[in-house]
Amino acid sequence: MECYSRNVKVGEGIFETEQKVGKWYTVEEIFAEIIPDRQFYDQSGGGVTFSGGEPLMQAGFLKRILEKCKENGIHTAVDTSGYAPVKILDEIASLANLFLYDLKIINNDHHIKYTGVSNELIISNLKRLIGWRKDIVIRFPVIPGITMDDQKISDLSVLLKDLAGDINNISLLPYHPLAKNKYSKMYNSQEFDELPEVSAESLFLLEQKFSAIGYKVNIGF
Amino acid sequence: MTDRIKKLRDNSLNAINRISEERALLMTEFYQSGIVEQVSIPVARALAFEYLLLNKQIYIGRGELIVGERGPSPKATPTYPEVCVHSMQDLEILDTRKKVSFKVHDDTREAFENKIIPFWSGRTHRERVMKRMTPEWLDAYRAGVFTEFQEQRAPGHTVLGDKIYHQGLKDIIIEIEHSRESIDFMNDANALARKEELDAMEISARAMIRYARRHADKLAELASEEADPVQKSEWLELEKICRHVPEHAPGNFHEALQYYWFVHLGVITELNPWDSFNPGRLDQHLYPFYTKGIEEGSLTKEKAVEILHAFWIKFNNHPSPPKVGVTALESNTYTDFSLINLGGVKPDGSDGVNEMTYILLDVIEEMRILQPSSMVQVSKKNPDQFIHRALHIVKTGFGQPSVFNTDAIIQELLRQGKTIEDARNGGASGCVETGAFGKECYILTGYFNLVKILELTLNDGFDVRTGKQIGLQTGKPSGFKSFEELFYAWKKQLQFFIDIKIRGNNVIDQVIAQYLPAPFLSLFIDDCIGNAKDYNAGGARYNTSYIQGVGLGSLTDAFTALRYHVFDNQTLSMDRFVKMLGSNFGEQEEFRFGLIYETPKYGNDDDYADRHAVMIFDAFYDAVNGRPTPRGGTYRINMLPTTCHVYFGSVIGATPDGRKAREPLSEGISPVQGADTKGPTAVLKSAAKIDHLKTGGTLLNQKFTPSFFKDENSIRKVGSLVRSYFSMDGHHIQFNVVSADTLRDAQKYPEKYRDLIVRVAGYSDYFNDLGEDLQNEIIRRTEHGEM
Repeated sequence: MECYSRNVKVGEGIFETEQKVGKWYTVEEIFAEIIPDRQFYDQSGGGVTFSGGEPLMQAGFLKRILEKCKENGIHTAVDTSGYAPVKILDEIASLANLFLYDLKIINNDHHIKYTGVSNELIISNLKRLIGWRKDIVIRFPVIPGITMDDQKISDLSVLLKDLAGDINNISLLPYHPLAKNKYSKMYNSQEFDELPEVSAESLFLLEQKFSAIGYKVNIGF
Repeated sequence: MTDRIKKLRDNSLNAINRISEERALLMTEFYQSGIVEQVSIPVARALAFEYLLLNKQIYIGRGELIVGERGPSPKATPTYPEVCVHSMQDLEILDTRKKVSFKVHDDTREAFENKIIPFWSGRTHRERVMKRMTPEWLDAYRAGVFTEFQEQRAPGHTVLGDKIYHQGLKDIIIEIEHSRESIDFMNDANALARKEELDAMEISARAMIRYARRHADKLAELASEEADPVQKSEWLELEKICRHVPEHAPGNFHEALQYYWFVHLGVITELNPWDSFNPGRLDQHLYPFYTKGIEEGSLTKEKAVEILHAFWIKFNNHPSPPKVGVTALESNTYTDFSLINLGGVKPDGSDGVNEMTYILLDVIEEMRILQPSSMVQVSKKNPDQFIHRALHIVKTGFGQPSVFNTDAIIQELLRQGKTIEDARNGGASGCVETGAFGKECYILTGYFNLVKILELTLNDGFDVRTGKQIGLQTGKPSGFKSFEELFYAWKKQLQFFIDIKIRGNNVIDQVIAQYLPAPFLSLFIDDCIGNAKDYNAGGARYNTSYIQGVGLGSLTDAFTALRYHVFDNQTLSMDRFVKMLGSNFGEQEEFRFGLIYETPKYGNDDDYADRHAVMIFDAFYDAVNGRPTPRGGTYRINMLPTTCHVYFGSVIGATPDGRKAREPLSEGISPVQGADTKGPTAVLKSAAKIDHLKTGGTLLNQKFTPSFFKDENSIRKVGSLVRSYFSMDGHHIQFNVVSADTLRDAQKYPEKYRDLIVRVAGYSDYFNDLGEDLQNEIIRRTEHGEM
């Protein structure tokens, strides 16, 4: 957990206050934040999304809060990279309703190059989730020069085509440089390599491609 | 829009708001003629109305499809000297002020100086009222405890039902004759008053018929001199319409709208009633005419839209007539609050959304002008498609339409004793006020400064600003040994001042009933003709008087701060707290910081704070609701400020919630600006804790950036938010869609924008919590979306 200073202006005065970047919660405390909005979830068909970081790295806690939500009829979603032991995946899969599942790069060598780990587990976990008959939305980060070349898109399409029917939703997440601020705070460094913005046209082409293989495409920021 | 509409719209936008002396001069002439002394007051008023309609200039603009102006030309705004007369100084202020100005020409000045002011000084309704107010009322009024709606404008506040779509004025005159026949001169002590009122109504009706004929004659004249064949045929078509309505019931779409417009002009020429006039459930009324015209082939959709565009522009030509003195701060706007209702349910309770509803929504989106105002009534019976269409317009950021809960409105009206049919045919008008359209006189009597009462309580009833003991002596604040004792003292002061307000209202009601009847307006609101009683004297089927509570958010936070710091945590003694407020926080900026950032606030679904909102609401309700009015009606509450939260703040010093002296209060039932930091769902939960169904309207504003409406999915989510709030019986919500400029302002003054949420990247966050780069990025995106 990190703390850093921030300046807050009140009238003519400027006061320094600490902004904590994290806080310890019990399951009951989290649930007390969730339950007051239940009327809104009921109306919209929405619910709670557990994100991060990587929520599967706090599997014990995640399991207990998912249980509580399930008991109370609250819809849950888990936003994950899928990089977790099968046993944990199974436990969470039995409790959550929806998975927002990142697929970055299908070619294993390149996946290792850019993320440091192999994607074999990630892909097999995805197939396992399908076996659990869970609702899944694929999230694909569209990063110029890294995930966007024709070969990579083709690899992804092949996999998605294979899974079409079991999964049919994909979110395209276009790259943006908004992490710059967070980066400088976390690493105390200004060396943030900014990449070019993703053009609307290329997003449109991607949308067409994935629609053609039967996916509903959402372009989100 | 067509070229002709573009031109008319431009003319309307470019017309200069100015004071016209025409009405005042004609009124002066009439009152000097000696007739007034020979007839009853209602008849005198009707004859004055007739005099105006027969002698005022007729304005007809090229290309217009609906004709008639209140003044000699668009935005030439009359004054109502029989109600209140502007002084030379008032004219100066109106002419020169930066906002909401009205130009004053030299001949206007001359007319005021030489004719209008000399005659009317001492004869106005305002003076009549003020002369009869008690010293304690005047003290409270001057201290800013409440405002008085009925000193400068006629009561008004009503909306038309469907009467004119079935009856011409000649049919209404027959109704009058029947009512006259049933007057019992043997046994009814009020028989003569009844007859006079009916006579006045008949005179007014006939005057309006002649007024329409004057337009028809002028149109014929214009046609005879017109070279352009298209314009000529249009003049002739309009001439036909003006000979048919309002004397006869309208036979088609165009006649229906022109008929309404003549009635509207009549109402705002007779007097200067609040919220001008209002066609109400316009989609319901026009739909049968529209479908008939389309089926017969006499109307096309394009033509209907064009006529509606022209109709819309007429409202924009008629700014709210300017007031005098202090009330200019109450509601400083050109808007005259004609709030057109769309959607809702039919009298049988089924879904009222129809093709005309969507056409009118298109009109609103395309016209984008200040007046008229518009809103959508959302019932559980209405489809989501309807809400989504409305939200698409909200997204464009021009502030319309606002969104109302039909099912709550109906329950409110039923609780007040309306029949289910009258309730379903009703809606909300003005800002948010609930009424049974066509059947109810539901007047607002003034804003009430709930926060000022706390300031008085903390000063033992003494008003620091005016230096007078105007309230009860409930004791020095240091004497309150518990929060309950403090709240009880506030309640006693509240009751004391509500009583003063009501006593004053009741006198004013009777002054108006006697001296300021509105026989023309009375023609159109049931059951005035049947009762042979004026709208301003209790003739309507339902009569309600409202007192509007202002400052709920601020007061809740103030009470919460006092409970938290003085009683529960003993951070500060009451004495020192009050002293600190007296010095406007003086050296205690750091403590003020704590009051703003580290004390529980209303709007965050936190019961520690929210329970005070409920306590305040219940106390206000208990003090007002159900008390009888002289017109045979009932007092009720609603919670809206228009802009009065600014004036009311200006008469109060520093408050316990951390607000500095003279700053505005919270508006409607919205949280204090910047106090809500847990998102819109928390705001709605807090707002829903007071019992909306016990009011005649509440007002809630929420700020969003355009990105919240960016695609169908997002719109669906906002729609869900609305449905959720309405399922908790929330009455109204208005979305304030912020611009890139607002975001830039938020960068400069973050403490004013603590509640500003923006959509970031798959999630939303408080704008203040974002780094500058991210903020700039979002500003850039917002700007991009604006283009």
